[in-house]
Amino acid sequence: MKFNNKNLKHVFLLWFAWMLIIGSSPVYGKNDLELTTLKDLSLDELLDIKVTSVAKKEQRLFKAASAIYVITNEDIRRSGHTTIAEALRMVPGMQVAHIDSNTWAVTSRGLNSRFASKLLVMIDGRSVYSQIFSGVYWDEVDVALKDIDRIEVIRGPGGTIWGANAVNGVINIITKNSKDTQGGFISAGAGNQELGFGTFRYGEKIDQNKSFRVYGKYYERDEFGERLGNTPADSWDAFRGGFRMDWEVSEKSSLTFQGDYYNGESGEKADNNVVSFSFPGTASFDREVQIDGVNFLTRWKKIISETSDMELQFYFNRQKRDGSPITEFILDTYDLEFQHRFLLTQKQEITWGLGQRYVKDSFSNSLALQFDPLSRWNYRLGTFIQDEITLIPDNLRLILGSKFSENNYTGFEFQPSGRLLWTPNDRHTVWGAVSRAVRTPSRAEDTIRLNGSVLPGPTVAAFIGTHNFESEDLLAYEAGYRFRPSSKLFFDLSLFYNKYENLNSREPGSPFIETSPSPAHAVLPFFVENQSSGETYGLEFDVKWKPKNWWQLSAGFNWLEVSLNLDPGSQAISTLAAEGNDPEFQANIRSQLDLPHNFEFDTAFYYVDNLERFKVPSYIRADLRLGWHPTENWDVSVVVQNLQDSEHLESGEESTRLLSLTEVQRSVYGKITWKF
Amino acid sequence: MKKIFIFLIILISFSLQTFPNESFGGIREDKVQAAFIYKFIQFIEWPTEIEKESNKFKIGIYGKSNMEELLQTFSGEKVNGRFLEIHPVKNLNDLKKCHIIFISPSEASKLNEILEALNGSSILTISRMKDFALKGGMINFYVNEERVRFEINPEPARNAGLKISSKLLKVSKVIRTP
Repeated sequence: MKFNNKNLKHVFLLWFAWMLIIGSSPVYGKNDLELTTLKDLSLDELLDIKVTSVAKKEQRLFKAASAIYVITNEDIRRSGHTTIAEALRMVPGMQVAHIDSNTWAVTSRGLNSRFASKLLVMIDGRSVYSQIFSGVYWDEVDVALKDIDRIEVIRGPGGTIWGANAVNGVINIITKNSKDTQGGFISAGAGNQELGFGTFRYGEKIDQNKSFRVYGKYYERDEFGERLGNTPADSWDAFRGGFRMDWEVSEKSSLTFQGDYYNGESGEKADNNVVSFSFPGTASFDREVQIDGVNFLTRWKKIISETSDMELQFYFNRQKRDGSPITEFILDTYDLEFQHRFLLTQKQEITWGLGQRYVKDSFSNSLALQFDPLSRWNYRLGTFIQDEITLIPDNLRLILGSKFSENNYTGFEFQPSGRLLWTPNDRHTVWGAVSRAVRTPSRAEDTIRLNGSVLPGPTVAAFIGTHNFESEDLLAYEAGYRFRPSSKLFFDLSLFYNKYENLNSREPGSPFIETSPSPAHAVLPFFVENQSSGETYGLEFDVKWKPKNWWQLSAGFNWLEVSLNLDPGSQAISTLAAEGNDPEFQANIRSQLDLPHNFEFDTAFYYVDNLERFKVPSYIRADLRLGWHPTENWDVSVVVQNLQDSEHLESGEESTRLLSLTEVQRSVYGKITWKF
Repeated sequence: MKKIFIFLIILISFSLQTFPNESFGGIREDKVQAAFIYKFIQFIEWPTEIEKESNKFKIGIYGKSNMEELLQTFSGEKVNGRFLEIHPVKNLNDLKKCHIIFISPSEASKLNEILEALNGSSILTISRMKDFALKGGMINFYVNEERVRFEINPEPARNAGLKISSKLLKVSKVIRTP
């Protein structure tokens, strides 16, 4: 779709007119309608009212100096989404595309691909960003969805606090404290795509100060639709279980212990993998990637005074991905973080922290894919300091800070940012920011040899990682405006201009001869270098509106332009990020409707523009959910996803690499939940 | 695409006039608690001599809390034949003039002193602080699974001559002082 400047101008004019109307409308009265309604409810009805205790949290988010968006537990439940990756569709400006049923390309603010390298993802403070190929294996990112408190999504750089790879965005998946998940539930369901799934959770108080929960879940999902005559092989299943324990040691100090284990199989059709150096030398085959992982995290929080607190966190994470016969790796991560906040003067709040991470990797090589060395320790040490300066109390603040870190790939890195926040009252927030963020090299970019294809001769085209590969860096300019004319209506607009340098490019080198493995062959090398740069700009817009107690609407829209160039002198045949990989426009509208007799009816429409580069057409996705909770203990729902068509494509060939695309199919499933 | 966007704007414009006071995702928990306090009056019996004393029913708020502002909404309403009055209570001596005392969580450190001062009077004590019921308070709010719940410690209530209906006890978590 083309959206020219004139159209855009119209939209803006309308938007401004709208702002004026809103600005002149009277503020809602002091008379508390809600409370007078509540008092007429019965005891049982009051007990069933869903409450939010996030007044403070909401305030914090409303007055944040970054483009933050929060997906609540209720949003996830009522969306009908069954994976975290899909739930991110709800965030305006997030790009979510299936490659096959268990592989996604997910990012914010552009440069999307299977290994979208600039989005940092964390679950309860534990990073699930993989340094091997720089990206997130979304089939491994999962928790019991019902125990998620919220998903905080920050579009834009967060390197100052979170460190490397928080370039285009940061996602924090935050689960509930175990004291808020008392009691048990069992849910189970099935459908045409969701072949069968079930979740179990039980939580209890050990004593007044200690609580715990345990959970387990399993799912089995069907293959997606056929594409270009390839029989799909992307069915997948996984088991996951875990626990969390929270202990309030005293009024001012608390301890958390949590851990998870998972094990699954993600099927795929591996495409054109080099299996021999004799022409043609490549083969396509089906394989089940075995995923396996375990993690343990502990966190100590201490409140020192009303204006000062600290946090110490340690985690261990083992990730194993067995993609035999091409590659298999095991990654053991040990991470220790410390953070401290205090008031330096009445007008200066300092937050600073220290962190260190050690990652041991080990690989098994194949003819197609090789790492050298096969195993090694990687490290990252860092510190950050941030000063929040009050220029005018409750009105104008300046936030300055930087991360300084050291890693075994590129040495010293710094990621400063400056943010200005203007909060004239509780209804308006205006912010602006300039920040630098880096994406550090992956193990692959440093040391991989990927034999891509075999030409007659025989000649092997190979991608080769180099130690010279530098961090990719970003200088981002952002601005945003949040407006809450009433507590029923909320607007959020953010604008950004991103300037990238040192982006990944694959540069041809001089051919050379190899005799082993046989047969003797020429190698056409392509070295991983930093000879690409570019800019992206755009906006994200979000409206939430609750016209009635029983009806909530939200809508999002985003526009994104990407322009990338090879540096002078570059002869690159390809780059990791490319123009036309991202939809220029996206929009969504969602409605959550409470009906009489405890029924719920929820609808969502998502529009995703075409991907120019691969001629992937634009699509509209429609989801419906009908829920019913006859009693407090029972929940029944039916969900239809992708109602609009029986099959559609979401990603392009190039973005997948060595993997066959499949088409997203219409999905229908039913689910029943019993609480006890 | 543009049409959808404009349509949305127009749609929203229609609702400008009606803005009840509510936030997204749920109702504020303190509001639900205020409604519960109002509701409790019907489920608790005060000793007859107190019931006859006056045609006013007084709820006191001890310590700084927005509960006072919320409960003021009910001020002047007639419940069980008596008119509701909401008062902030500044010092311990004034506590005994009320039927219900809501103790602000900010006063947690003074809890023993407050309960001591109330000893021997027929006053329902309510709060939302950790271990309130365990330490001898009567009704304590908490939140579980995004819903307001309350603990009741029947013993101090019985000692104060208050009768809590079994219906209320049934939906509460009963706490016993060790």
